[in-house]
Amino acid sequence: MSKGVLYDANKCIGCRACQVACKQWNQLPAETTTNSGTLENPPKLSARTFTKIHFTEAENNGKFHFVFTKLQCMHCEHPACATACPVAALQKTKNGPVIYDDNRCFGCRYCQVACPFGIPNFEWDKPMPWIRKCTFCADRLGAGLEPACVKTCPTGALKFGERDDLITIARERIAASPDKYVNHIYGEKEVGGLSWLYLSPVPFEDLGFPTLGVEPVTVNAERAMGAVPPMLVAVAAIMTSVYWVIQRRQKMSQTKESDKNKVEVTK
Amino acid sequence: MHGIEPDQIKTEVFVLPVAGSYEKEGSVSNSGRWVQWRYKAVEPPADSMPDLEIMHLVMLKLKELYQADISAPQREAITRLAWDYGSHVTADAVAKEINGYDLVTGKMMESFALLKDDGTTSSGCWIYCSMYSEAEGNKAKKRNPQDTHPKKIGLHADWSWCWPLNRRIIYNRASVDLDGIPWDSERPVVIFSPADKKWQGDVIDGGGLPINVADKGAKNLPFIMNAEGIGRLWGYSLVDGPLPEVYEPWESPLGKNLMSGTMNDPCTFIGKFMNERGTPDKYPYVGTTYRCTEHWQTGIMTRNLPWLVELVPEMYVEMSEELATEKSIERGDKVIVSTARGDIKAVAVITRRFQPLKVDGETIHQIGILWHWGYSGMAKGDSGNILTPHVGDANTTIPEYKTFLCNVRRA
Repeated sequence: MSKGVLYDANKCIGCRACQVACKQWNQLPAETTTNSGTLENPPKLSARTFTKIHFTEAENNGKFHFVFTKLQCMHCEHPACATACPVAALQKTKNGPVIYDDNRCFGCRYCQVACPFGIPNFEWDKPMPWIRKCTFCADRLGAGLEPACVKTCPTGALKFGERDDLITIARERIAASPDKYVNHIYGEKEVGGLSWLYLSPVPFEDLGFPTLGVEPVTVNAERAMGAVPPMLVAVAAIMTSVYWVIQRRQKMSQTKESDKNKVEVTK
Repeated sequence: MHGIEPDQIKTEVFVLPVAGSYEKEGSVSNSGRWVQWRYKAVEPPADSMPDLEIMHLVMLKLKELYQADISAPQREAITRLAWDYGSHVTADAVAKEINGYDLVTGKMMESFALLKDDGTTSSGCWIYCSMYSEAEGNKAKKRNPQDTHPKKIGLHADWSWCWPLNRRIIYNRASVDLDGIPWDSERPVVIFSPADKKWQGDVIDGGGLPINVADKGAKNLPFIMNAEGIGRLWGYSLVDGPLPEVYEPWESPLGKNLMSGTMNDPCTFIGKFMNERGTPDKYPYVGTTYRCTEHWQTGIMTRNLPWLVELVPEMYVEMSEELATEKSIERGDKVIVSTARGDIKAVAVITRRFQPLKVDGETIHQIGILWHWGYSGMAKGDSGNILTPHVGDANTTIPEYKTFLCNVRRA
């Protein structure tokens, strides 16, 4: 059984306590923002912002809706990022989270290209950059706790549980109030299913969700990767190691250069 | 500002570093009359300390000074003031004192009904008497989430404590007939059991038995705070009563009150200082004020927390697409909102959630103005208070900050 989270846009009040709870648990620094004429901030997900609430003013069946949507890694059942990763730094775990191991990652950023939601972010401003994204609080889940964002949500807009149970609950909510919800659980079938499931009062494309098929993005990649002989992979891994060492040496010498410059400036 | 010269004011102000609400222990009271204990979450930073501790240290020093000066005026008011906290004061000790003591035995007073006027009992405030008991200690700390009401109506009487006497619903005797039988048998507030002549559920208001069962002279009526014991339709305690009336706000975009012959409530409190009144020709729009969830009050705590500043970094005002088009204001533009009292700069948030009002055939625009901002802190900005009028409700003097006249233009 795999865990999931059901986000109900009809229950969310846009307080963004989830954003703060996420930053607190993951010890992420605040971003410097400005008000650009919307209540939404930061403007997009980044290596320092794993989740955010997206605000939409939409109309559906002649009725005006102020709709909130929570964005973070969807923790796909068949994650394209994990398939694309040549060194298995990204992996889907049995209980739901797609986890990332920075000891394996060598910074190719294929995952960024592969993800249909544009979730993995690269720490462009760091000398030793890693990929950063929502972890589904895998550490908390391991300790029997719910994710930090779910724990803090004051309205029950976020519900953590077995993914199958959440789908049942979502169906019940739609059936109980068909006038309040569009008849679609986003994430139930998209790209083979997501651990994060969504309910909304307006069509998902109006909220900026990509319209995706039911076929996992990974299937083609899996086939292709499976055809590569193990030998080739081994060679590729060795070459990659060599590349990494060279790159690291270059980087270190660059760092030394910049240190020298610093001394110059001080003089 | 407004002709005030700080150095001309004959008062000296000391700003002391005081702990925030999460850095100290104490109680909060809500509008449902609950007193809930709150514990310290973190230590106050640097030299700051709870205001209670600061007052304690000031009083200890005052006592020392008054003790030394035998010619000090009203000296005994200070030297003989009961102040038995020792070197360090706790919120719990003050809670006990507010509850009150039997000064003969030194035990907690168990009910305000037992307070005497002969100097043998004490209580800081009678409504809070019984908040602290010998058997149960500080009842504001109670945290039993179970509903112990026999019909589970959602009373949750063992979660914190409620004044008076943990009575959760005042005038609850009005929920039963003269025999003590609930008007609503499905959701009774109090239930009288004739077998043992006892009430169940909420703490019965006024005490005693149902009127038909009680002895002559002990027939308690439900509205215990009214001399006649019954509810009033003709409420003569309101200064602008006895019946409700709809008035226009002090600053109104309308030429006349469409609901009544009288424009404004004649009993309204109107400030005389720094309180210029605007007119619709100069200030055609209705300003209204509110809060956002991310900041709190003046924002002096929240505007210094980087994670909250990230969410709401700047002072903003909200307006409709229609008004924005009329005034050539684009989303995110800096705008000046002005009233007869002053003007502020803010970011324009243009939203369909704001719709122009149609009043008597006329279109009237509204501008939503946030509180929370001020001149100091990590995120600085103009305060909504600069715009608001100094007008108070006739009975409560609650400020009229929800409707006033303003204008807006691009900065």
